[in-house]
Amino acid sequence: MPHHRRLVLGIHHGATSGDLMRHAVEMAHLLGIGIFGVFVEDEALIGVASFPFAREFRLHSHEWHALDTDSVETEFRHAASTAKRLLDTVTQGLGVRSEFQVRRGNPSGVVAALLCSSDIVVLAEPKLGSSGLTQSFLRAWQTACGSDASVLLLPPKRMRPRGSVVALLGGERGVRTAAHIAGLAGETLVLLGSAEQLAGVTVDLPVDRVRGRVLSDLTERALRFALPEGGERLLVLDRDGLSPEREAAVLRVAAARGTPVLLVGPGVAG
Amino acid sequence: MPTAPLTPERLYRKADLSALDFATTAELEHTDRLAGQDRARDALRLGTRIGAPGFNIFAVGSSGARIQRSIKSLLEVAAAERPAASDWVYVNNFAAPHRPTAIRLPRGKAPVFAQAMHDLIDDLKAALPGVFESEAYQTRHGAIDEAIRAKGDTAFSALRDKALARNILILRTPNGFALAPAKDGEVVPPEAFNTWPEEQRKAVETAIHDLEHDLEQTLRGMPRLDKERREAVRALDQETARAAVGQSMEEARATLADLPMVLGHLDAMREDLVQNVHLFIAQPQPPGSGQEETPAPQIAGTPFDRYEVNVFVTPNGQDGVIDESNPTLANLTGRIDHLPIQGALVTNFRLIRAGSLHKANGGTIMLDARNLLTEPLSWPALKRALLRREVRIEDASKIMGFSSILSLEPDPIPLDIKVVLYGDRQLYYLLAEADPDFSQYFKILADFDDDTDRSVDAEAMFARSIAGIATREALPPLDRDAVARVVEFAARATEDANKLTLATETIRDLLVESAYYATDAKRDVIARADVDKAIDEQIRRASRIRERSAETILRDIALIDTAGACVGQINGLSVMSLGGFAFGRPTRITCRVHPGAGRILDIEREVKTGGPSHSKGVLILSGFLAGRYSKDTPISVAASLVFEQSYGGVDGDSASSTELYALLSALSETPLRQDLAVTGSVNQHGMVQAIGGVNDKIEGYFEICKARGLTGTQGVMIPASNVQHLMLRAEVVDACAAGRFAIYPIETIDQGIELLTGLPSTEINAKVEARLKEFAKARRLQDDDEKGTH
Repeated sequence: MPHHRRLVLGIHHGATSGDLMRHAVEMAHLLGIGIFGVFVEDEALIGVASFPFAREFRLHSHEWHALDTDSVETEFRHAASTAKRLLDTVTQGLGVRSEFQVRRGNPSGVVAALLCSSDIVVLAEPKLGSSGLTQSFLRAWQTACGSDASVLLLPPKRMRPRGSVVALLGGERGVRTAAHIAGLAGETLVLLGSAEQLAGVTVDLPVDRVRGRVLSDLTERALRFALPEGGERLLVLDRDGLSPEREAAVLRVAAARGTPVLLVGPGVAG
Repeated sequence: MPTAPLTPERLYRKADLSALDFATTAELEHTDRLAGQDRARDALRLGTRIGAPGFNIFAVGSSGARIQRSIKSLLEVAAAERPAASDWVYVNNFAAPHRPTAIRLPRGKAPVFAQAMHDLIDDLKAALPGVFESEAYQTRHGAIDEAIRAKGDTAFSALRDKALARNILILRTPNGFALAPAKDGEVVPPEAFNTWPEEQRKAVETAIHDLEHDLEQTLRGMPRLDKERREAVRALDQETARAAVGQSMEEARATLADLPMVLGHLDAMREDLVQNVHLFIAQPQPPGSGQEETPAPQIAGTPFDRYEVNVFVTPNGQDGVIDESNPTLANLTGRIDHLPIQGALVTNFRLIRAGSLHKANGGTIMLDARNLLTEPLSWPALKRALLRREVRIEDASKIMGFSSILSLEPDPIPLDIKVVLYGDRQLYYLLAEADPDFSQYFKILADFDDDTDRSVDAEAMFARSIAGIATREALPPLDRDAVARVVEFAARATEDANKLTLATETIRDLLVESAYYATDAKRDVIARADVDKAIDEQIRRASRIRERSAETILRDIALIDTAGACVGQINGLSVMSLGGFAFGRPTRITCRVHPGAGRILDIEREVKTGGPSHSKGVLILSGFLAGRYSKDTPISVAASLVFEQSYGGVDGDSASSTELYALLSALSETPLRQDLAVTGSVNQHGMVQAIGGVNDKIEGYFEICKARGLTGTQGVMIPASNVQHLMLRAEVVDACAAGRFAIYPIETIDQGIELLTGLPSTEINAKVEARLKEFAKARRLQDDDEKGTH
């Protein structure tokens, strides 16, 4: 059984929605692990706020306002407090144990420093928005992928509460993790891979709960064709041995279908 | 020739059931119809067959007649001849939900339509989520997202690159974005920045200032892009939904091809489904999210209600005649129910409830006029509905000004109905007098007789109606003798041996009580003895006052002689009616005479205890005296007449013959028999005329005589024209048959005075004439004395 022990949710100011937090907690609940929320106060922003010419363009009012250190720190405190309250509410509702910390520093760096191989770090793919301006998601993604932790990438669309768990054959850890989740969730496990891969795989699930589908080549078109018609609740793949192009193809298809993707990290014990 | 008493067979007319061969009513064909209502039946038939507005029916009858059952039987026959009424449904008005749309459907089709719509929605609930999760849809949706994202990324990348080229970074702040100086892709800390040459710092500030404008423009474009994406997705959703809904809708249309009136609704529904397809693809919120749907009453709780059908009116086994026993405004014109949901009262078109006018639409509604008129607002609402020829649901609280809550305004339903009001005559005449609109809406009067002629055929029909009542009330059957006794009771109830009452309620009550005594006696069939017992007990229960009245006579508190003879004194008979129970009692009437100016002093009138009819009777006596005894000269008598020990008031002229006998006795100074009691009115020619309550009066006197001991000379003088009304108790009839009591039919005063005095009337008349002459002489002497004095 894979040894995921906690789910890490990096929270930045104004970047964490209730949906994201809820889905993260649900995954933790499903896996029977705790969740660790860390709110990172962007150190660079506090510094910028001390410049006399510093201004912020506020999205809700579309107006410019002067920035100062005090107000930024106050906003950070409020945002952290809100995030903690939200996390507490959701975790208490599902009975998931949680921990919450506030730290200051570089957001990607702080989270990266916390991660270990038994973690699942949660990232939410931004909706159409301004993350491209700051490349914050890109940095978080790169940091996560550079760690030993597994990565749970949540799509910008509404996710399905039910549906099969799909595993792309390619690494034993990914299949085991997918089987483990399918078993916990009471869902069917759908295995996608070549005929040879499918013939050689064994999972610890009843036969009637496992389906195999041939995926001759990992292209977007082939993947779309192979995925279950009714939709899936989770796509699991092993980061080992997956080329960036193929990984990107998988992520694009998953994003379009509103399917979360769990990239099982290299450090997870088999 | 002295007047002979009536033979026993003239005192009671027995039932003749020879037209029917039966042992018990179980063998009889039942009927709710009663004989002798041809006039009312014809009126009802006319009213139900004329379709023109206003030809509604007001059926009147006595309060106990329960005419509504008979009316309903007649109306049901008429209803069978009419074409089937329509079904009505209410559906959502998608353009104006507060004005639900009414649709008329052929009879019985409303449930079919409702089920088809329900099935359609169930089908879409299952099909639409799949369509929106299909590969084709997801691909197109992803393409839209990607296209818009690409647009955004292009703009953001350009701005980011431009900023980086000038060593500026864009940072996310809690509320938005800010620009900061950068070096090697990292933000320059303030302490480092402050070490920069001023010129360089100014250049940074200038760059930031320039880029702020670009940042603002880029971010202002974000909502536009988002809107563009939403619109593209919406268009995709609608296109997808249109195709998916269209298929199911066409199937539904095919099912309802024979209902062209619903096709317009289906078109509107299709468009609404397309616009609101998200209702079908929204996924339930997970537990703990705080966004779970609140459980709500099923009837108004789901977003899919808007597509359901409110089956407003459809056949429910009724036969086109609705009898609304509780005609409140809501029961009559329908109502709109509300449900409390989270502290607020909410409603929708599915909570519109039909009133009895809706249910009877196309048929007939029966309304108890008294109930209708005592319900606030119902009578005006009925008139409005008849005037407009449509039913509009009216809210009493709004009409009364108690509420101004916004609610639904459903389409009014066109009204094609026959209204039959029923009630007592007094109500009909009051309405006709007091409501000027009344005759406009109720042009047909169906006047039900209170009784019917008694014949062999009528008695046979009556026996069948008795059988009907017994069956309807789940009573044991009646044997032949019991039926005969009930028929005889029905005749006595009319106070006429030749009539039968049509007061069904009275008969029903008697049968129910008789059944009780039959069961008590462990009989499976109601026997004559049970009916007799029921009648006796009915009388006994109501007899407290009668017994107290008799007691005062028997204890000589109220002075009534039943033996001997006396001048100027006679036993009259009166009837007291209390709470529907009537009984007769004797009253002593006395007369005193003396010379005077021809005035008969009615003491009852003088003290204002006499009514106008009684006064009229007394005045007739003057006419009789003058006509018979003093044709050429004024009458010189003064007489005073009084009902002794009467304190409650006297009315009616049924004692006028009695008073005349007392007057003649006083004038002739001839004693009258006190063992006889007398009833009957008289005209100026001395003819004795019929009166009411003859049976009660005879029985009242008989009771006193029986209590004192029947002597064989006692009896009652009644007008000969009242003989046809006699239906006396068996006890009285038996006493007469045994010669211990007698009933004398009297046609003239002469005949009566002979019986009362034992003298020829000529002798009495001569004495009266002589006495009057004496009075005239005395009067003249008195007048002369008075003139001499003056």
